[in-house]
Amino acid sequence: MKSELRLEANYLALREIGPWLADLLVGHDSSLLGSIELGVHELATNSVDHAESPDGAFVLLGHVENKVLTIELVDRGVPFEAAEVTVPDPDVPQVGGYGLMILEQLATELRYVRIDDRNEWRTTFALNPM
Amino acid sequence: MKVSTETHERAVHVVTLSGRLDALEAGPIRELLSSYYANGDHDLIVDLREVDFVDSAGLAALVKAMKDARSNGGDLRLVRPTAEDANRVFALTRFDQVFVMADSSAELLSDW
Repeated sequence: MKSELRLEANYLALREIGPWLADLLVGHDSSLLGSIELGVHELATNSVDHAESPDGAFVLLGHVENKVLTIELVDRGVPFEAAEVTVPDPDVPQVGGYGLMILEQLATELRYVRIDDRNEWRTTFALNPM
Repeated sequence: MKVSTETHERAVHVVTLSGRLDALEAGPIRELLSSYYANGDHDLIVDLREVDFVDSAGLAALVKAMKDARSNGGDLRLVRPTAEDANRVFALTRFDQVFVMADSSAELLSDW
């Protein structure tokens, strides 16, 4: 199953992610929905907070194949600069900066590429066999 | 998100939240918690039992408030969410070892 969700780049719109994922994962282990929603939510929040897309929006593409959920996020914002990201030190609590750290723990894979004027993120989640 | 508040002995304020503590709600919650500090009250319990989702922005609001409380000689302690989906972010970031957390506000108050 494939699905596309176009969202405005604001926090209220992010609440559409959970129901969209629930529809996408019908027939799969629902106990994974919460952790997948958190991971995708963090990825989308990153776009809202940092991409500054000129069209004020981003697109999520999702599909399930061979017990793997693949989510792609595409926006036309400023390039993601990995070098500017400070990885939190678990022994030194800080107020923010945990979004990608959370996603990396929940996802099987996380990739980022810049293609022309687009940021393209691709992340995958393993689905349990029913 | 629904919010209710009450004050217990030793002027410990209990703020009870329900619903989602996400990026949309983080700002208002941060302002609410800061309002106690503006009044000189730095001992807070945030009851998360009825919260069903917490993301990194919601966590950040709690962490900021906890750090502000501790820097003023107080503390912000948490009643654990009952929902696994709301607990997950604390475990993944290891903030479950930074906050003082318990299963009820009574338990937190008894040890204060």
